[in-house]
Amino acid sequence: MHKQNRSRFFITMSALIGAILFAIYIHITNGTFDMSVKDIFTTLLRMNPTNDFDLVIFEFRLPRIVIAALVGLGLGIAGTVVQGITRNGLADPGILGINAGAGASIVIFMFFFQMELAVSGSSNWLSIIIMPIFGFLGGLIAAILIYIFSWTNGKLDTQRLILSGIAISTGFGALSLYISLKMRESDFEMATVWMSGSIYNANWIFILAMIPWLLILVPIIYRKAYLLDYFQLEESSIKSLGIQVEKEKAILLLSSIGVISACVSVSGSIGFIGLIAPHIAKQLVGIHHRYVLPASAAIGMFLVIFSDYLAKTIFAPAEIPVGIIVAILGVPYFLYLLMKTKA
Amino acid sequence: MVTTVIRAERLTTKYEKFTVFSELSTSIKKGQITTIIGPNGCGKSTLLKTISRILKQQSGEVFLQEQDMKGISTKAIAKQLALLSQNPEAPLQLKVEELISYGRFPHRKNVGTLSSKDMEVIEWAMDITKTTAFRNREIAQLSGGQRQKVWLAMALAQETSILLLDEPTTYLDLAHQLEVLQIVERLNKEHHCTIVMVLHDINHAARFSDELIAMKNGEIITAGPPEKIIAKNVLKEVFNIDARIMVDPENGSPVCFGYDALPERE
Amino acid sequence: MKRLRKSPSVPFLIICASPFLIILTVALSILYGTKGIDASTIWQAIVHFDSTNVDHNIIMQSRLPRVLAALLVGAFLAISGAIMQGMTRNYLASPSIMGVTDGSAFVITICMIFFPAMSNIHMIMFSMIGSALGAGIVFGFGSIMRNGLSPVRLAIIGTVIGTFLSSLSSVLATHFQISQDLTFWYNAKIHKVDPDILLLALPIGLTGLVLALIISKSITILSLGDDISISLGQRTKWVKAISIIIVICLTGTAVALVGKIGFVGLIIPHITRFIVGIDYRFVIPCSAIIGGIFLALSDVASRFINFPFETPVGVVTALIGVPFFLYLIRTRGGERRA
Repeated sequence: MHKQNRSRFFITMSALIGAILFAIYIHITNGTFDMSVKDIFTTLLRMNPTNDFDLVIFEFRLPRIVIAALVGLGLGIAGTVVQGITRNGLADPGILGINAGAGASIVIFMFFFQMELAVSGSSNWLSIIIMPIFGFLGGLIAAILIYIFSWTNGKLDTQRLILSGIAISTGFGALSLYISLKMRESDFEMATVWMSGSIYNANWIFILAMIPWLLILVPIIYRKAYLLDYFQLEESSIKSLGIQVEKEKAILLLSSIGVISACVSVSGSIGFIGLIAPHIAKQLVGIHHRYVLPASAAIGMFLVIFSDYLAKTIFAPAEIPVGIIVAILGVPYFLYLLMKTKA
Repeated sequence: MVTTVIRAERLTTKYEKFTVFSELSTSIKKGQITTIIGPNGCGKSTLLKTISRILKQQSGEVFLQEQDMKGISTKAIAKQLALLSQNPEAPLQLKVEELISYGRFPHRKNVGTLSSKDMEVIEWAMDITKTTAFRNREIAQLSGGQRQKVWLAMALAQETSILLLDEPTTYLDLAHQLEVLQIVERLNKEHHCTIVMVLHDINHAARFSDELIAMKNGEIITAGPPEKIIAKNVLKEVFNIDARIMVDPENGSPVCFGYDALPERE
Repeated sequence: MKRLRKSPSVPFLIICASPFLIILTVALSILYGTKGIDASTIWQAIVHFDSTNVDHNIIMQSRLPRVLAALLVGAFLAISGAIMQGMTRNYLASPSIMGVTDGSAFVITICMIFFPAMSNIHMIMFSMIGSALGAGIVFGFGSIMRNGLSPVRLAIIGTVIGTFLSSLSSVLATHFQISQDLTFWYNAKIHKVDPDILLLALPIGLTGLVLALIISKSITILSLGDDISISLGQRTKWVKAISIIIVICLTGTAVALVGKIGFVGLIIPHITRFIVGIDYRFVIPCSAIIGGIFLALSDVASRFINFPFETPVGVVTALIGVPFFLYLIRTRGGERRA
């Protein structure tokens, strides 16, 4: 029985990795000017480097792909955890307002430190490194608010959870808009583009800012993933098994908020990935979270890379924020889920 | 000599602002089946949940084997005491055997694989509850009665000497009610399990219990053996019913064979 | 059993006091702004309008239309919300949550792309078509849902479809390079309201209001539930159809006037029911009054939050609305009755 699960998992993962490689391939070869695979390999392996190719690959396309991959991974993982903890298939960090909380806090940060820091790169790498910390604070505040408003009779009320999430994200959205209006014009434009979820101004410092968060938090989450299986039981049963429910949930939730903040601070708010990826993963590898978690991470990666490819090519040379592409792809799937799930 | 395994002292429990009971004290004797009875909303389930640390009491102490439960880690408690809650839920795609294996949580050190000891206990739990036949089915494919037995098996897999059951027979048909209660009785007789449960059916309570606790409005009205509790005056006070009681010639337990509601008293 | 209504004196008091309150609001709104204007100038502008006087022009061309627009839009949205909440017995129903405003904005986006020189009357018409589209999609999805439609589900579907429509709008806008116009347009352009549209909106709004008052008694009965409504001999389908038409007209006009403004349609009916009880004969007119005044005052506030710059009034209503929304969830999250 377990063996069967495991082989299904490995087959799925190989297929997903194939899909990711394919997405990377079309993303890296297409763009303002197309490149062949051979060009890319020769550039990557430093066989016949030319400045043009170096610039396009190392400064534009590669960082963008890496960020798309990391953001997808983070959101896929965080979505799985949030759905697992709340026992709610419709929960998603975006819908719950955690993204918006992190976003508002980062907009505040941008406002006080003037955007130039974040844009101009190397000389201000410090502020980019600090951004996720601010994001974390905002995400944390959102999560605390959600808990306060949906906590009744010693447990989280699922219906209230989503509603307060919607309310909180609207509130933080309004706050972000308000603050961004106080910014200088150029900053304002940056901020709006960033808020709707985009990664086309990617660079290596953003990646550097993200990596420590993922390196520390993802292993913690993965170690605790088996607990998510238990969390699918109802509260009394879990407690009666001797699981320190509140403590374990807090660790998992805080770690996810950290992951989300790291993602939001580089890409803005990209919704629906955290919702869709876990569902597809469960369809593919079953309900065990030790399998769901990596599968969901891989699906998230694929979705964001692929959506970003669409975002840059559909209306080229105009860029569409990737968050909007994801929303257009994600909403129909969300509605489909809503129709399928029982009340 | 009968010893006490659980002793509650001056417990007060609240739901939000509503106090369910205050300053409540009681004790549970080792190796016996104790059943809490009482009308809806009298605090039976809340009492059960409080003594199993599912709900936090506002004040007062619960002693497990004469040790204050606040000082024992929740995992250590789970090795001594298991609770089958009133309406348990699990993902519908979960396999029966996997769900039962969840009961091994407090005993497992590494999360990877089940030890041979774990497997042994799971087999035993399935054997006692007669769930072995559908071990590979998903929860979705089970009837209500089968599910309840699976949940009971999960609690048994915890390998505890104390088992708390919150309305284990609600929503079950007559045959399954009896089947579940007979499993409970067998656990008590053959495996010396201490049982505390909440039941609605007075006759079931009388037949299967050594000790009854009658509650009303958050207070324990009286406690004692069924012969003493299943009596006209007690039932009148607790349930506000006029009951006719006789003794079952088969097993000697008191049976309430008919009753009428008394006019509302305020 | 809830009392059907509180003492009818409360709603009458509100209705009788409303002219004074409205005049007061109008006066406040004209007096306070980036440029202060004193009361005597207003009087002068009304009795002896002088087209060379800058203040007079500000009053007649900008501030007066603006406050009138705010009053109308607030009233329209509040009535729409009240009708939707009564009709669907869903305490979360409101134009912005149910995708009605997003639908309207979506169709307007398309029109701005393909018919840039649209006349005002067409703009209002398309906006109504958009409202109908948004409402149609949301309720359509709601009705094919085989597992029933709880208030929360409907709210979630509405929010998500709203997101979808506004994402589509922004993709289209990016492609046709009208993003900037559109951002401007979406975020409540109450300070740039066009007096011509305002004149067109007035009769539509009044018709909607009168219709709403006519069917208000039926909505009270509908709010007791479909079964009761049918057994009382009410033609439920007719009432619902008329209600939907009213909502579409009023919301469509509101969006055409000032863009998307959230939360007014949600919170005002709640506040109104709290004050006047649950009889929709009183809820609807009082919602209109309270909604209009609320939005007009929010608009005044929006001039001062970030003085001397204007803040979109939608930000103000959201900042007031979100805590209220959370309070609603907190106090009656589990309740299903409207």
